[in-house]
Amino acid sequence: MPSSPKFTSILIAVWLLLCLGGFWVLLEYSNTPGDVGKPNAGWVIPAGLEVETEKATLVLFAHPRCPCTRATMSELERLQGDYKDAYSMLVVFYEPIGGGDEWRSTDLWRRARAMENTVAIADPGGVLAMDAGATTSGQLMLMNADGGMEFWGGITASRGHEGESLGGIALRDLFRGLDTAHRRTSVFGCPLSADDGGLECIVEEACCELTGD
Amino acid sequence: MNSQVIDRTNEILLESRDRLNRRTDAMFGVLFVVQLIGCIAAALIFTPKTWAGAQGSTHIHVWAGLGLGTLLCAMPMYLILVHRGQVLTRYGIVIAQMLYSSLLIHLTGGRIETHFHLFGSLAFIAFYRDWKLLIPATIIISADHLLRAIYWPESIFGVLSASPWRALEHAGWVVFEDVFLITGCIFSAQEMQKISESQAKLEFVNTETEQIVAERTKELRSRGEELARSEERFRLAVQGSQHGLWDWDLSKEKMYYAPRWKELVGCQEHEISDSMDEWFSRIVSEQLTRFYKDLHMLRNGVIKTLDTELEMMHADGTTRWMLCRATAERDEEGNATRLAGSMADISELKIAQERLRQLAHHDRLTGLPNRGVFVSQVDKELSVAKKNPGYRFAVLFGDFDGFKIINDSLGHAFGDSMLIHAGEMLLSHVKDTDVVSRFGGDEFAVLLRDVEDDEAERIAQRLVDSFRDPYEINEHEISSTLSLGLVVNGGEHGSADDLLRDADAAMYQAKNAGKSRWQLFDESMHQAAMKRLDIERELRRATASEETMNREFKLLYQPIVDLDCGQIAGFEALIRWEHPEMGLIEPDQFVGIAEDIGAIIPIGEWTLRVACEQVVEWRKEFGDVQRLYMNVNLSRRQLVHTELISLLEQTIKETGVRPEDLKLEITETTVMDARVDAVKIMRRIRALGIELAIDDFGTGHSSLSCLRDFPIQVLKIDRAFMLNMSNHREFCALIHAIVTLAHNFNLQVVAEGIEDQDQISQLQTMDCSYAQGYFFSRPVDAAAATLLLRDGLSYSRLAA
Repeated sequence: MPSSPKFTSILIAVWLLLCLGGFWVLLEYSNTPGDVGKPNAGWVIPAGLEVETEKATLVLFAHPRCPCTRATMSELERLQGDYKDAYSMLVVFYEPIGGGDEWRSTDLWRRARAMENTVAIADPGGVLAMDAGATTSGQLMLMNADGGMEFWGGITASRGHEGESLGGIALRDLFRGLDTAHRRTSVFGCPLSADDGGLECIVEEACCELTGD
Repeated sequence: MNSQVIDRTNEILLESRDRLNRRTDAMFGVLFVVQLIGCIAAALIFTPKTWAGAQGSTHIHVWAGLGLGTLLCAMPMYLILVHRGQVLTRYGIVIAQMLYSSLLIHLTGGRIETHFHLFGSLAFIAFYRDWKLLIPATIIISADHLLRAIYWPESIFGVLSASPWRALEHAGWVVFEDVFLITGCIFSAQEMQKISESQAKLEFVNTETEQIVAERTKELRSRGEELARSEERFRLAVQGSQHGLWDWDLSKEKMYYAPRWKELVGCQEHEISDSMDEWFSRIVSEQLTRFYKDLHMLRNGVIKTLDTELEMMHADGTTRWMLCRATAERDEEGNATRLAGSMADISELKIAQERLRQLAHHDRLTGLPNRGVFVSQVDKELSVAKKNPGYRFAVLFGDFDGFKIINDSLGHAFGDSMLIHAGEMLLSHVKDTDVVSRFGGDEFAVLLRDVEDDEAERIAQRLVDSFRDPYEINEHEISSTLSLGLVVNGGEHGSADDLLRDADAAMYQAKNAGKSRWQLFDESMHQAAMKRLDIERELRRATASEETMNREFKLLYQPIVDLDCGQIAGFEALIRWEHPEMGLIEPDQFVGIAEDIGAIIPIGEWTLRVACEQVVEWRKEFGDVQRLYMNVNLSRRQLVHTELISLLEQTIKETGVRPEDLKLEITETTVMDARVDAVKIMRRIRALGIELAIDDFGTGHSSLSCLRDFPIQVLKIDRAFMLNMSNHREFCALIHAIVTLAHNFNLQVVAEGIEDQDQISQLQTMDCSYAQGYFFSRPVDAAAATLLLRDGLSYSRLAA
């Protein structure tokens, strides 16, 4: 194996470039947000859920197996620790059509159930999310007691990265009754749908039920 | 600190750093492998898959963990394997490690806990104890954050743009740790420097110490070897000397006996305890008290060393003589703490000493005391006699008559046996307190102590009588009588030598008186002895120069007559000494003494020269018509004198004498005493043309065979035969036999001592041709002899 200083220096330089390139790709991926979607301002919480509507409601659209959403869950746990009386929470977990219990036994499900003032529901086929305009796991929507949307975005700085973020700062400001400049933030997470046509099927089924066909 | 220490300090420091770097490189090697596994595991645990609805796919983190993790690990591993310990390797490791921290933080979703890896990495880098390595590490962290701040501001905790103070705090902690670690590295480097200095100094001191130790060790080894050699020499010396060592510890009253000591007393190792009694009990009782005293004196410092001989009992029941040597070791107060020494068996030495003493004081053959012992005993008796008036003792001095004949005829071994027997015989006739001594040859002396009246005479007679009868030795019956001289002393003599001299004189007198008898010394004998001394002295004076010899010595000439024609055939030259004070001294009074003291040599030379000059003179006067020769006597000492032949040659040359006119007379005894040499010399004399005559034939003890063997031409029959010729018929027969025998050997016969006509007549009937004696002429001086020659005196005229 060659061992001259020149060869070694060149080797180190090449290696360093490769490493930096790798890091660049990795960081590029991690810091590229998902589709933030278009919020449906008229979206309401489905009836029959035990969500306290007298105060603000924070809705999370999440993919139960998205690793990036764990950071969002962790941030929510911290947020709830500080402002649990300021809002109630609804977690809408995507679930594929015909998905079994294994989709509801993930760690995210367990953590959501463990949170206070929180209702976790499954969203087969991502209908509710699509109705609300959410397309990326980790998408949060804050609705005030009047049903008006106060915030739309994510609370992580990049994919799967915990820590302070603009979204988190904005929610804290809102819960403290302050105004915030960041009512729209990027969302880092897995897509809630795979564009496999499932959603269209569900929509068609729903239409048939409504029309009696 | 000298330059050597500084240089060595730097060396040690470099060695230490190299060792540290290599070790830390190896640790990072292991760490990188663990981190690679950790990266992959973190990716699989935290982000195994990414989802799009119901569709899952491998998360990019997994590929990043595998790919980027391996890439980060590859380079430092290569450097560690190929360039371990080098600067480049360390920097490569630092870069890789910091990137690893970034990767891990990223793969774990930026967990705050994972950030500890970054701080841990910095601490790990500090293992190199090189603060410079922390600089690139910090730069990498800073660059990472700077790039993120530029490209992904929100990823830096999302606060960079919102809160610069937080960013500053964030950097502050990193700087804090850097400062902490850099300080630690500097301190550690300083500590290493100090340790290296200490080690260098220690090594320097150690080297010096080792050198000193090595030199000391070498010296000690050398001394040890010398000591070993010395011990070996001592051991060999002790072995060689056969000494048995012992060591008496006085404080413990314990004795150490070396194995050799136990051997000396015939005991085995286990048979001797450590008690001093083991020794004391073996010392013969007569010497034990003396040994106690010796030890006591040694112990008390009266004597410094002990050197004594002890007689000790051996295990085999015999006694052995031991030489015991000892010395004492003392404390500061001078008290003996131990005695140590050696013991050696000197029994053989004692025996040898006794033998030497015996040899020095005793005759080897008979075992009797020798002359030295005898003289000392006589001296003691003289002292006693001088202190005690009335005390008398006697000295007998004697020899055996005819011992020489026995010795020569029966051999020396037989003669020795006879002497042993004689010694025993003498001892058997004296008291135990008396002393019998052999002086040498057949001479014995007897000291009779404390004699009364005629006791000495009676013992002398008894001794002489005991040898009168023949006795048997070794199956041979021999008869050898004893002649004794006796001196009875009451302290009159001055010394033992005087006594012996007188006893000798008395014995001489006894022999002269007929042998086999004893003779009491009287003053006349002493006078004779004194006279002999006078003659000795005067002989030395008279022969000191030719002048004194010419003045005091003269030659007389006795004619030898041809019985056939009655004419003088020749003369025998006879010397006379006319002493200026003593008067005329006959040859029998001084020739023997001259022989003893060596004066016979100059006398003989003088005689030969004068006799030759005389015959030459007569030849000149009477011409060659008359037969005339000169007989000159030759003593034994002259015969064996190395210069005899050259003397004869010189005399013939100087005087001009014809060799055939010269005859040399030698007695039987002279020839027999040095038979071999004599025959050789006689032949050389004959070779000069000089004739030889045997003088006094018949009185000695030569065998008749000598007539055949000796180169002689003339036989002169001793006068003793002529004296008895008239009275004893057997003598006539004997003379007749000698004459007949001589004629058979073609020898001329001269009869000596002719005093009357009857003798001449009888000799003529025996066909004896020549005669010599007073009947013809007494020895006369040269003038008278010349007249005899001139007058032509004939036998018939003389007879008338």
